Amino acid sequence: MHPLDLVVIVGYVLVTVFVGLRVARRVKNARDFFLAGRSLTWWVIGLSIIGSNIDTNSYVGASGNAYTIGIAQANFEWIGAIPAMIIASLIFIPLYWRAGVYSIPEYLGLRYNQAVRMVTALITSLFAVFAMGIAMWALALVLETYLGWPIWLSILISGVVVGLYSITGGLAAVAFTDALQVSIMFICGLIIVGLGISELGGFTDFAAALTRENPDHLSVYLPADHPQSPWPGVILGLGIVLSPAYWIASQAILQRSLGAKSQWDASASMMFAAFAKTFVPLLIIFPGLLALVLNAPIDDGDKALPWIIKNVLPPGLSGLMFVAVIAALQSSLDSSINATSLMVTRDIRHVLIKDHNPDHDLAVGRWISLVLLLSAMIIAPFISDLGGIFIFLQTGLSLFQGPMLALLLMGALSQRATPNAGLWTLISGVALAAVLQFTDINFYYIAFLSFCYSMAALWLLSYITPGLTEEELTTLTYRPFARRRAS
Amino acid sequence: MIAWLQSLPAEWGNYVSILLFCSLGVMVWLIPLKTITADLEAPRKWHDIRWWATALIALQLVIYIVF
Repeated sequence: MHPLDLVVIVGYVLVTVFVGLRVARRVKNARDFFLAGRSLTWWVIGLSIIGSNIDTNSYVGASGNAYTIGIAQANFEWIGAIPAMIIASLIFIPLYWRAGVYSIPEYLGLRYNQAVRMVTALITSLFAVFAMGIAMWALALVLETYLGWPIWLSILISGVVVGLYSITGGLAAVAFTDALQVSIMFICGLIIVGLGISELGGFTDFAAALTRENPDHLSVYLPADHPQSPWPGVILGLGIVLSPAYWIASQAILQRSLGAKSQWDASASMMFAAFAKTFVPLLIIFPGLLALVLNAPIDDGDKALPWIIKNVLPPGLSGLMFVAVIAALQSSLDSSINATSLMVTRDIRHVLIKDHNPDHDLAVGRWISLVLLLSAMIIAPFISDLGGIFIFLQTGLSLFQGPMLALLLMGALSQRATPNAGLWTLISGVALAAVLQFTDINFYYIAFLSFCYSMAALWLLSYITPGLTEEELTTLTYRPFARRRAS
Repeated sequence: MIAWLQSLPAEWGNYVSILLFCSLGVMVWLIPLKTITADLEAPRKWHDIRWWATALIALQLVIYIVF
């Protein structure tokens, strides 16, 4: 490694830990730990949202997919994000904020019942632990290619650094370090774009070189019978189900909005994040395309980004880009740890242990954060040979995002949905999605089908089960779009 | 239904996306301003994030028209 790269990497790690530990001094109780004492401002939250959203899986997996299918991969950042982020910003975030909840499962618990709260918290927590392990493994892949470090060493170092500030500082430390990390990511991404385009003689030459042998690589939609990214599947599965389910229901994403100092800051943060999201393909799609144009000698698309870092960037910048990948891992990992710790501490523990002491939430939350981090570190070395990282994660998400989205949409926008209908729809919807995984149906369509089933089941079951009272529904449904029940 | 969907040309994806974003643009302006700025004492013009949403949607329309 060039000494300049080493200086950049060490400097970054020190600054991150310093910022995180400094913010950590403000944590006095569980509200400070999980919601930053409801003190965060919109632009910090917005950057933090993007930091949590872009992870090493995005960097490595999305670059790899872009290498294979081209700019169509950017749909995850455009049609697969922006509409849902706008709706979350204007409708759902104000609703959650007014309900005064700490988490999305807590909202579902108020809107349906405590069983729904616990089931959703349990499913998302289990998936989060697995996703954290995958994120650590993805980083190990980069470290192995770039530095030749053994996997166990990179996992150990990453875990210690993230643990230092996220376990002590909670959401505020996570949000401020995320904001710093995202700034680094954007700087590095834009430098790669600039260097890549100029090396190839400008955008026109780059586009010509790219489409010469890959005519579809600058088309945002691929043919409808494409095995990996059929356009109807992208719109129906990703745009209408997976994306809203993520941006409206993801605890790791929305928790920082719930920690905003006002309802307006909470809403504006998501809209600001959507602006940043529009330009994210420059960071995570472009390197994959660049590797293709430069005829990178790689046998696996997931190695496109590590190859770019190692072979295209000069010393110093190479270290900075490497830092961006580390930052991507850290910002997602710290968010997942804090969000999952919150769900286990409050949404599972509070429901299971009736005589819990809320004063213990801070200590319990910190211990659970440590356990989660250690679990992810233990799982990570065993995750390999899963195929494309990105596809694997999306397939996992398609299991439960359809039913969860149905519960949130019907719960927030309609007064009809009832508690028992919600519980049975959730259980049967996840089971249906799991069964469909054994067919040859693309995961986009599985998400769409399980969502359609869940909407229909929730609607029909709500006719035969008792609902909440008008008074109970007042702060839990979005009134301008809700139909009032005839009494 | 999936077989029928798979027979549709890829350009339709762009048209459907453009239609979706235009519909979203209309929906954004159906949301009352008071629900957005409810907790602000003296909201200014730039606090109306419906304008932010409109700019975002315009950006997306450009992307799906060009690519």
